[in-house]
Amino acid sequence: MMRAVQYRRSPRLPFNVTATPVGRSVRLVAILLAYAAVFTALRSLSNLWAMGQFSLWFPAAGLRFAFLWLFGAKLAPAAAVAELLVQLFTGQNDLETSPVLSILGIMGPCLVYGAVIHLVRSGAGRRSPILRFAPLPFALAAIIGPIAACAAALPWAVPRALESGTFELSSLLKSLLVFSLGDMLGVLFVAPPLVWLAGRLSGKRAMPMAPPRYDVIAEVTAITVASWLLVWAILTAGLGLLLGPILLSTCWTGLRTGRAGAWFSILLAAALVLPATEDIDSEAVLLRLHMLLACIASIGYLAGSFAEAEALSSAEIARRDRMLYQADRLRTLRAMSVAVIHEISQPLSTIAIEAKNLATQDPIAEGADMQRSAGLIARKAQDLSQLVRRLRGFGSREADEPSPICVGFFCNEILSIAQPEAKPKQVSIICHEGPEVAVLGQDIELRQALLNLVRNAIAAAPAGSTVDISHEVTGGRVQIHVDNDPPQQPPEGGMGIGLIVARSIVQAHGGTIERTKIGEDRVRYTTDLPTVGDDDE
Amino acid sequence: MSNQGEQAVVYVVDDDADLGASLSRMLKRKGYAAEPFVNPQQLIAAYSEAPAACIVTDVMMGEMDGFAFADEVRRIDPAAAIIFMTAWPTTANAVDSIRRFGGLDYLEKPIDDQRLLAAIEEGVAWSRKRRCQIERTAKLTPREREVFGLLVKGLSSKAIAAELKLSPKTVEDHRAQISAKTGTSGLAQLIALATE
Repeated sequence: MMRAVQYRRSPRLPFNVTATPVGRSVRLVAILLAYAAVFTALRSLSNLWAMGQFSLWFPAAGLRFAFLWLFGAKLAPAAAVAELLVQLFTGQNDLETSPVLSILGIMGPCLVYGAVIHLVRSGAGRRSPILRFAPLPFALAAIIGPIAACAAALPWAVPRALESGTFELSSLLKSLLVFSLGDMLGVLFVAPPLVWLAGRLSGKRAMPMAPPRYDVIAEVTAITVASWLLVWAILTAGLGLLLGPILLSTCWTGLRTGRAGAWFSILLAAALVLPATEDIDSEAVLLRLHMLLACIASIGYLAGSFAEAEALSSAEIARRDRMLYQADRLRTLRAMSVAVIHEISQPLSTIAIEAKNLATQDPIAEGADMQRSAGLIARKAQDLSQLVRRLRGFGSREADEPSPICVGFFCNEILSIAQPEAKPKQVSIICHEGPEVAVLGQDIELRQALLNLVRNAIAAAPAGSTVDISHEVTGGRVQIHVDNDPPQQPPEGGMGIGLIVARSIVQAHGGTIERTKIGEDRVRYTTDLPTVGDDDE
Repeated sequence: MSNQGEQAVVYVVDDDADLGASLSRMLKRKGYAAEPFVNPQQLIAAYSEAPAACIVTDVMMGEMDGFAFADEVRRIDPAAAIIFMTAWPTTANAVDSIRRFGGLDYLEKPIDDQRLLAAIEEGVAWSRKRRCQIERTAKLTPREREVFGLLVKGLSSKAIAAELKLSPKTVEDHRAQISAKTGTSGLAQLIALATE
């Protein structure tokens, strides 16, 4: 679970940013310059898929997203300025026509990305429990970011189009669509590996999901190959490039293997589709393909993130179960220590009194009395030694080593542990003799299970009634019964956890716990366990 | 205790028969008329025959716990001192045993015998005084007891007369009767008797 906790924090960066203020700002400038340089390179790469003003696949957006995710959304304004300067210096934009709108248009997406990342990260935990688990906020931000940037671009796109004098709604919509598709593809392709790489470089293994097993890899590979064969078959049949099967196989891959598998599946789709789309002239066909590719990327990545979040959340649930278990075990130990203390202090009191008596008596005049005292002391010492032997036998066994447990003896032990709880409630416990039989199991766990049942029975039983513990053997299994009168008022809760823990322990021992009614109004909980060591042949 | 004439009766109640017997033997040696009981019901059944000065009881027992037992004893004899002992002391029980159940002490097992003896001695003394007070006020008529109750609260005869709607003269008569029956002279002694 530590891994999950580590993961929740943003990965530490491979740069040491804890230097002096001057050093820190120098570093910051260096990082921003590097960002600007790589951004420029990626931007020119995207010109290959340019459609009008924007590009259908814009890897620079992925760099931007990864940068803001790693360094924090508060760097968004600085990054936006860096992007603006890049455009000015490379002459891609001279700000001659309507400078304000142009600046807004260039800096806008970066600022919106920053805002989305900030919102998702700061509010992620509170809204939905599943968002508490690491990969989902990233996936959501990666998908929402481009859409939000596109929506935010509308206010400046309209006046700008009006200014250039040729306002056409369809072309405006098209360019915004291209813009968001390009960003989405760019973010989903480029940002995950960059963030992963930064995590690896900082020495942290951010891998909440266990590596997939070979059979899962084989299954996913088979499905992927099959879906591509189907696409190819459809293509050769002259029906065009239809990517539906890929959508399904990528989603499946994500669910089965997490983000890594999803990403490779997306990469494969992009590697096969993007080069093919360079030569397509029909804008409609191109848009359709890229939109489907963006859908494949989003859904695949979301599925992968969901699978990992789900794995994390079940790990969290398992951890809570263990804690519950531990808390219940502490209760058992406490009850045991009460019983042991009771068992020790009674004979010890007698021994102390009698020994004092011996020390002050006249050996000749009160010989008979002294003999009685000495005899009593010896008997009490015997009781204590027996208790010590019992406790030692209990403690010496390996905690994880199952050992044979005699059921009759075991039930009597439970009785003595539960006694201090029963007495103040004026409930008496009776342990009935039964056949001699043993079960194989972990002593303390079974003790915990049966004690929980007896304790529930005591809690439910009205004052003055009895709780009966008995056992019988039928066909290689032993049934341990705990019977009690039903409560006069319904219990005030607290019955549940003990029973849940008891049930899980008994199930782990190959047994069951069942509730039945005997006669008119007695409640019986029966623990059914397999027996061991039949020596009666 | 032998120097005070008759031996004080002390009962020990514990469901561990050996411990009860040991304790009462020790107490016998210290000059008490001690008797062990394994369950409280037995003691209650036999109690009216031979009331005790002090009862030492376990808290955790079978059908009747030490506290319920103490309530029962209080009902039939308000002049018996009660001392609790337990193998599993808790703060809540300790407070309850003194405040709610009128216990004199709350002892942990294994028993510290010096403390037990000190508590019993204190209990026996308290019980004597209490019995004496009950005896002396027992002879009062109900009306006299009413007047006695108001007197020890510090009310004047006039105020008592107004409170009970009697004439001051009648109240004075009651006062004289109270003094004669309890063998006290003056308000100070009366108050001392009431608060003993």
